[in-house]
Amino acid sequence: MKILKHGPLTWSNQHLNVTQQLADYYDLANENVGSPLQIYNDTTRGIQQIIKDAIASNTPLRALGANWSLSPVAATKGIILNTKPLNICFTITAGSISPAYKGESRKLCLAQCGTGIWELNDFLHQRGLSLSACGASNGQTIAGAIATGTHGAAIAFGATQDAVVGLHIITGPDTHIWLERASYPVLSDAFPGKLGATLMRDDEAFYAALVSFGSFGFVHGVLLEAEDDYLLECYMRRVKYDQSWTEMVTTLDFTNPNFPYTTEAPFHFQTMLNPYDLGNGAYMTTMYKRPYRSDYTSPKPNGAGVGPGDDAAAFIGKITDYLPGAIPFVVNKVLASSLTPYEKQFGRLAEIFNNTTLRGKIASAAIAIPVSQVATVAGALLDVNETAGPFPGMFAFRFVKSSKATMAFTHFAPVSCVLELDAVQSQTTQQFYSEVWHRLEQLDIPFTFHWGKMNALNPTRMNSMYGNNLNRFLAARAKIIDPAMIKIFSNDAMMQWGIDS
Amino acid sequence: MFWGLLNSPQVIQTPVCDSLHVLGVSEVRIKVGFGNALLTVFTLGIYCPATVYWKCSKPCPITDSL
Ligand SMILES: Cc1cc2nc3c(=O)[nH]c(=O)nc-3n(C[C@H](O)[C@H](O)[C@H](O)COP(=O)(O)OP(=O)(O)OC[C@H]3O[C@@H](n4cnc5c(N)ncnc54)[C@H](O)[C@@H]3O)c2cc1C
Repeated sequence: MKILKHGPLTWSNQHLNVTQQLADYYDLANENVGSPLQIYNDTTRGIQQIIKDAIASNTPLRALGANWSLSPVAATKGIILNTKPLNICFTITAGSISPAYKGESRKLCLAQCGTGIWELNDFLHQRGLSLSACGASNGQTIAGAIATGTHGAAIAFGATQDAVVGLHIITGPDTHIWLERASYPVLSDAFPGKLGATLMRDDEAFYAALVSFGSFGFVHGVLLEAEDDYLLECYMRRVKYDQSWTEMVTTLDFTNPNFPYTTEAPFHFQTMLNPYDLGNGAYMTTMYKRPYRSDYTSPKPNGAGVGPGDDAAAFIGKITDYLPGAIPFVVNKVLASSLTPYEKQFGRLAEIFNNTTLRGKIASAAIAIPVSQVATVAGALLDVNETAGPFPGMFAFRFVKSSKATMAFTHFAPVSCVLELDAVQSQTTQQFYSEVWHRLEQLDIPFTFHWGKMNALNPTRMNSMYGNNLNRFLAARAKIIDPAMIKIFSNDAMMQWGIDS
Repeated sequence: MFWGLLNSPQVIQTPVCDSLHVLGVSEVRIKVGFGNALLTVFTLGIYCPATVYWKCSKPCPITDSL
């Protein structure tokens, strides 16, 4: 494996809201001689050597994906391992699957941790396949995306991690495992031998490792179950912000006449509120799954460069930190040009959610809440905006099927609603966030923070948000990961959240 | 008229990317700090210093079947 050491430096995440002094920053890259499997296995050994050295020198390590998280999950005082160049992708042959596997081997793909979502999209499309879900943007790496539970609004499918059916995890300087569910074996008993890994089939361990914010060893490979390519038929409408909106979002009754189809549940459902323009209604985005065909017109961004799948992060950076009095006017101006309703646009998942770059300096916080609480939370937000605002952004509600991952923040069943508060980075925004978390606690509304976005997690909140799931996660990790490895893969965030050991 | 007269075309060397077998850059940013901007104005643009930042692109994906 190639390792390029940069020495001590000051590191920041892409949004420049997290900065830390590092002991070192390593770029990791695959060798370019040998078969792809030999190269992959050589990288496993290279990473193990780094871990061995780090344990010997008591230097913390942290794997870094695309560096998109706005929370300090990827930070460390020690060494950051840049995994982006680790992008080998394998298809799986029929000979490598377990006789108990009911799916099709052609739909499986083993992606090395640094493979970008956009790279995976290309790899799969070339084979007539698609991911089942992703976030609104596609710049994350696969290991980075699943580590924080990256989601879109796939109301009947779930988040990115819900397509994962196997994990290759480096658990210590001399150990690495191939982890699958016992209840859903996918690859043959002999397969892990190709990677030199030990086979482990264990549902509890699998679900614990799936969303584990970089603290469950080094995830080297991710086995994904893709599906046949499909198109999304997309709509964005404005609907009245009234009792019918409340019913729509709290009951998810898709027979409501506001929906383009009243006899079909959408694949994707989200709604957004501009607190300064409620008179003109809420925004509502729906997407319906259609069989793939090549004779469609690809989706086009509107005049402001915003495409059908873009979330507020794509345009909210245009609102700069104006004087409070000007905020409602500026938000209205930016939203009027960025969010233009459209009907019946078609595109593949990868074409709709295709935003690879960051635009502007934004703040972004997201929490999952039970669907039944959406209207109450919307009321609370408008209320807090009066006292702690004006919030320089908008309120988005994305609906996503709950995940079985032990620490998935989208755990409210059967569907979680993710409230997203994207805004300009400012004092007002931070104050608004704190006030909202307090208000929801006062109202006794359960919620969980997105691991990769700005949050105010502490051990008390961790316990109240995850309860027994937190104990299950810690127990599964202690069973599998070498204690010395848990220690060096910990960081300040893990300590602050009370999950460093 | 004089803009960049003394800045002959520069070839960006990317030893970091080369050593990772990444033959290309995915992003190039040119930053002109306040001091450099002043120098540019005082020399009527004849001398126009800037700092070039780049990001290595990703290696060409390796694919295979297992
Ligand atoms: C513009 C923008 C849009 C976004 N849109 C969405 C969205 O639509 N939906 C959503 O849910 N989120 C969204 N996010 C949040 C983002 O998807 C998550 O923060 C995601 O985790 C970032 O992935 P990454 O590859 O950048 O990982 P990083 O931020 O680099 O790392 C995230 C975590 O993964 C760990 N990690 C990375 N690689 C490995 C590995 N090999 N082994 C072990 N741990 C590893 C890191 O240590 C860290 O804990 C967005 C963020 C931005 C900046």
